[in-house]
Amino acid sequence: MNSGLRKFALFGVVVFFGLMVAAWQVLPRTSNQGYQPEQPIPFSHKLHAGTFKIDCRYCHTGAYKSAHATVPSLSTCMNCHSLVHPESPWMQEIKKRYAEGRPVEWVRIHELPDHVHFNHNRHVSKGVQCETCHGNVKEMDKVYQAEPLTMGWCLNCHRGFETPKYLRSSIYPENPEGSDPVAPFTCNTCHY
Amino acid sequence: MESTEKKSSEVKFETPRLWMSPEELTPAYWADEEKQTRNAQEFYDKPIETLEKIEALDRAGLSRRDFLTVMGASMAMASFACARRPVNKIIPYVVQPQELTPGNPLYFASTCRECANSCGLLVKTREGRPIKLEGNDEHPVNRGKLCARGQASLLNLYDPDRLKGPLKGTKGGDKGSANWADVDSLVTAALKEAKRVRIVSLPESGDSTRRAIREFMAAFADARWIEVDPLGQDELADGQQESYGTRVAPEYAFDRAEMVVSFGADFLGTWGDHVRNAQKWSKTRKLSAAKDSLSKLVVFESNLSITGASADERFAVLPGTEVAAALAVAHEMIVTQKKGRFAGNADVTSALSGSFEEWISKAGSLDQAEVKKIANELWEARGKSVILGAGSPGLHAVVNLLNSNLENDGKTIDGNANALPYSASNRALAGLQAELESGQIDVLVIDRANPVYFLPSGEAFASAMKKAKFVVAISDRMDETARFADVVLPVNHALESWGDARPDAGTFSLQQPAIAPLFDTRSFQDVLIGWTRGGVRSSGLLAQVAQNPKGSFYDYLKENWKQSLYPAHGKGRGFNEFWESTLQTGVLEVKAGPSRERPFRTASLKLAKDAVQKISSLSLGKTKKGPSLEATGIALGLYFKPSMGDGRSANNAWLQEMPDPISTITWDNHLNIAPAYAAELGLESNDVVIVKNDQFTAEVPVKVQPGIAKGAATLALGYGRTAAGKVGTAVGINGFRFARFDGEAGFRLDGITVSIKSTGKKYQLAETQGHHRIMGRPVLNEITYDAFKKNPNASMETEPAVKMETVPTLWDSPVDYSKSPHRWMLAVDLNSCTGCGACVVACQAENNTPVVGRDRVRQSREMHWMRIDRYYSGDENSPTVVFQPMMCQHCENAPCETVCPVVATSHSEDGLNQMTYSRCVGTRYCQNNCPYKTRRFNFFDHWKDYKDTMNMVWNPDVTVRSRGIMEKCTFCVQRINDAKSKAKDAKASLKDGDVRTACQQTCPTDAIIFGNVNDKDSAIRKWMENPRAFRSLEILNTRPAVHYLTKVRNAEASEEGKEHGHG
Repeated sequence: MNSGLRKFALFGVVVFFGLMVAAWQVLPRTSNQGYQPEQPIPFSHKLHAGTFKIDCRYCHTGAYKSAHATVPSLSTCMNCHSLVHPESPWMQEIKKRYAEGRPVEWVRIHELPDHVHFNHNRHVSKGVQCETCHGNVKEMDKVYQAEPLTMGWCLNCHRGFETPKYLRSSIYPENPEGSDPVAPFTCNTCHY
Repeated sequence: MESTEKKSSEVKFETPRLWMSPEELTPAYWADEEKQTRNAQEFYDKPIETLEKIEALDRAGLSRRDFLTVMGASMAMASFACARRPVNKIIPYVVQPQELTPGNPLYFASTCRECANSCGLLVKTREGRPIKLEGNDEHPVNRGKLCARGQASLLNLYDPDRLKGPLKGTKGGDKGSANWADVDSLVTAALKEAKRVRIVSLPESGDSTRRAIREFMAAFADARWIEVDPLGQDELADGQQESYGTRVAPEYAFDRAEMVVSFGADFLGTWGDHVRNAQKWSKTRKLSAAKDSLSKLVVFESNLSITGASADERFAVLPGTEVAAALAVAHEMIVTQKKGRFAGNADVTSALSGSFEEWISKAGSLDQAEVKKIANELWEARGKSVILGAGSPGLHAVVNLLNSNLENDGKTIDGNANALPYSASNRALAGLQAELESGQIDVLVIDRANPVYFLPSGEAFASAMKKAKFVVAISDRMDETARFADVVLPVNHALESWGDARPDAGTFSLQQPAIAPLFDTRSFQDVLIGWTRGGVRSSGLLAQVAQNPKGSFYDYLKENWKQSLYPAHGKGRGFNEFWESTLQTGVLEVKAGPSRERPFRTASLKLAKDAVQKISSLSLGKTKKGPSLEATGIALGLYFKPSMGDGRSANNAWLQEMPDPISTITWDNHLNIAPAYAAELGLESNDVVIVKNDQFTAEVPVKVQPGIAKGAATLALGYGRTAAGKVGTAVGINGFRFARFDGEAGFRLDGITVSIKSTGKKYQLAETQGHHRIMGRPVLNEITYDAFKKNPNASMETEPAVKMETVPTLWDSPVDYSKSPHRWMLAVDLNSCTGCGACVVACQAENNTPVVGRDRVRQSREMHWMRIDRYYSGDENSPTVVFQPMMCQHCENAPCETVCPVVATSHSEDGLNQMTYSRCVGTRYCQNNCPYKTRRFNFFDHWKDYKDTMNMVWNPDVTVRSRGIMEKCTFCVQRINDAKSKAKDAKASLKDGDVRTACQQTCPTDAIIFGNVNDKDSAIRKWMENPRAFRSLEILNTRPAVHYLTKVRNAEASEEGKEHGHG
């Protein structure tokens, strides 16, 4: 093999790996893990859910009765904040929007593709804790996506491979150490 | 060599038992190798257009290679462009309504206003948007069922072509946008001056609306309200008036009828209260081991309707000659056999003078012995039969005579207890037109009616409108009539308005809005209140409500109910309690007393004589073959389709794409001509002919349609709108223009003669049946009632000749589902199915199935998950018809699953064949391997065609599929999952009936059942144990989950053991 060809081959290999790295950086991810966008109002879950220990379901009322956990309406904020810190500039903003009937446009963090149907109610009613999928929100000043939320990740729990202990022992109290599936994993459980 | 080949194909030819088009009955069709090869290919619908485009690029200097390079580069760039996920927002409510949880549906009881029948609705809303209409189970008119048009009326709400605000301008000229204050002041100024006011509206049965209109009119010296309805029952009510003295539309107890004879009335599809009719009639068509009585349906009709298709015996007559057929039956029964109370009655005998043969010959070539037999059978079923008709008041007089003679009136026909006076009259429009032409009318208000479109003399009416001082059109779009108004007021959709309806004497139905008006629109009633508030004098409650600056029709409605219905039906409750509970059920049902027999007035038979004279005066069926093909004196029958009705929802793409039950043609109307007659005229399907009578001339494509009398042609109404919107404008031709209309006879759709002339042009009709071939395989079973009684298991042609165990199979068969808690199956009773197509539209609405348009249907790319196959059998000119709803069969041994290279389709543990869209790579192998041809492929991103507000109609529980994805019936798995979730919330297990698929839910005849066969008491289990149960194409060992119940026809078996038709 002459040196010209060798150089060319080397160049090809370098270009190939370069493209791979570029693609890795640029192409869409299947997982959005770690996504931590700025929110229009810097609402702190650490303060509300952590310090003040407000139950998740106080605001996310849909979690135990609907497919969507739901983000609270402004009126829920006003329940407390008509008295608590009304002078804060962010509260002024909320008050203004509340009076004008303009909702806050929060940036969505946890989002599944349109062809997946996830039901909060079924999971919460079964005893899955919010933290299992959403991470330790009580410690998050600014919420980010803690788990990959990929199909493999879902199935690892459903099929019993990586089911959290607390969940397994509540589903199979007689055999908390087994590895039986804990939830259905047929395609149309989620895809339809 | 050539001749022997030809011979062998002739020898091989055998008439198929089931056929889809008359050409299949000719040996030439089977010998045509090109056609046969084409049929045998699955993918003959090559992307021809795309290839042509590429070739065009080649010719333009861009080579195919360049094209691919550019394509590749753009794809690469496209993938870089979407490197970051889109940032999506969550926008919560400011104040969340207490009853609403995002993600959970809310249901509102309301009333369907798509036609005058006023079925009860249950509107499913998600986050405030109506996404599905279902029948209200507690409503006495429809008992939970809806027709195709009712299902589709949801899409009208989101029609982007609706008016967004009021308009003002000149009659017939340009109109500019205005605001409500502007137009209200214009209208009130005109009304304050006005003496002669006319209101034209669609029929309003609601007491509150009727009262409001009367109160509004009270202030004017001369005010009249004309209700018009092209779909209405004018002639029926006139006939009742003549025969019995009251102008009513009677109620028919089909559920108590052992025999039904219809003279042209498509009572299962479009005539009268068709949902209620079909539901009641189907109760007499259910056969099981426990119940083996079967009613008999005899139909004399000109067009092959779905009622005729369901008939046990059907006679094709010339359009307008149904009256002669009815007279023949009456003559045979009353004069010849002297049976019944009118035998020997001098008036009746003289009215029926003339010979039986004479009547028969006037109706076409009917089998005399058969007609005589029907007269006998009717006599046997006296008091337990229903005779009905559609046509001239004269026909109704004969029908009434027969019913009274058979003592049906008061027993199976209720003309006084629950029947209401019939208020609409299209004939009154003739008087109005004369008044308009004389320039006497000060203000004309037209509420949603579209006379310029549906009147045969529409243009004349439009120019008459110009002579009125001021015309107000209240319409949801700038339609044909609204163009000739001074101001156009945009009207709410029914789902945005309050109202009430009174479909029969004992039913008071409330219409509750399910969404706030999407645009700057008002309901007609609120418009009246606005005018009253603007200073137009009026009286009573209307003035009272208008005094309150915030008063709306809601207040009016509530107050009217408080005054009229609450005192008698409040049952001691407070008014609010009464109101809210009625609103919740959507209907107040008051038991009507028993119906009584009415004395028949023999004088009404004079009308029958007139009607016969009228048809005798037409010279029918005189064919003249000149140098260019020309035929004159063809009797034209105009008919309504279950999909399009009178064309008021022509802009509804769901309805346009719903295949006609009989012809399976979408997106067009066509001239139906019988095969033998077409051959005589030298016409074929898709030939364009000029159809002409003294009023109108149009070019219409021909469809060779079995089951039409010789000398006749039929044409569907509701097409040819000129101002319906982007979807409905210029689709087909306007058949109303051929109809007869005058002040005396009223508005008549029959007794029309036309001439036909060939143009030599071709027009490809978008027909769906024929996209798939059955290749002579046994898809369904039919049997006669006689044979069924002898042996319920007879005639099982789908039964495999060789026992399944001996057939080599790929699969471990059968799969054991007994351990799974659920095993979902669906069954269809072919005996109840009328082919009405309600299920097709319900499925489309529920499952986000896109509309593809005429061109794509021509390429057999329609996306319906459910189709209704229509097969003919017997003679090509008088065939019998059987419908077979066909959806994914969820086979245990699914051929699609074994060929999918990416396991996108697989079986669930509860027996569902599941389709995982995200896995699908679009090889279409599954579609190719499916023997039932139920899989549909997205060649395009059809969802992108949904514009603006139309995007609100999507069902959020079902994925919207994109290009390159295969899809098919899922057994409404979203409903299964939802029901499971609800059962888990209630800590209960699923009960039978908790899951109802969309098709099952809406089926007016309860022909579809769905359930868990592992539940031993489930209804589906009972259906499967029915001796009639079979599976389609069982010989293929696919073991489908869908079962069918054999079609049983109440006709005698002919010698060959086949059913036969008559004609």
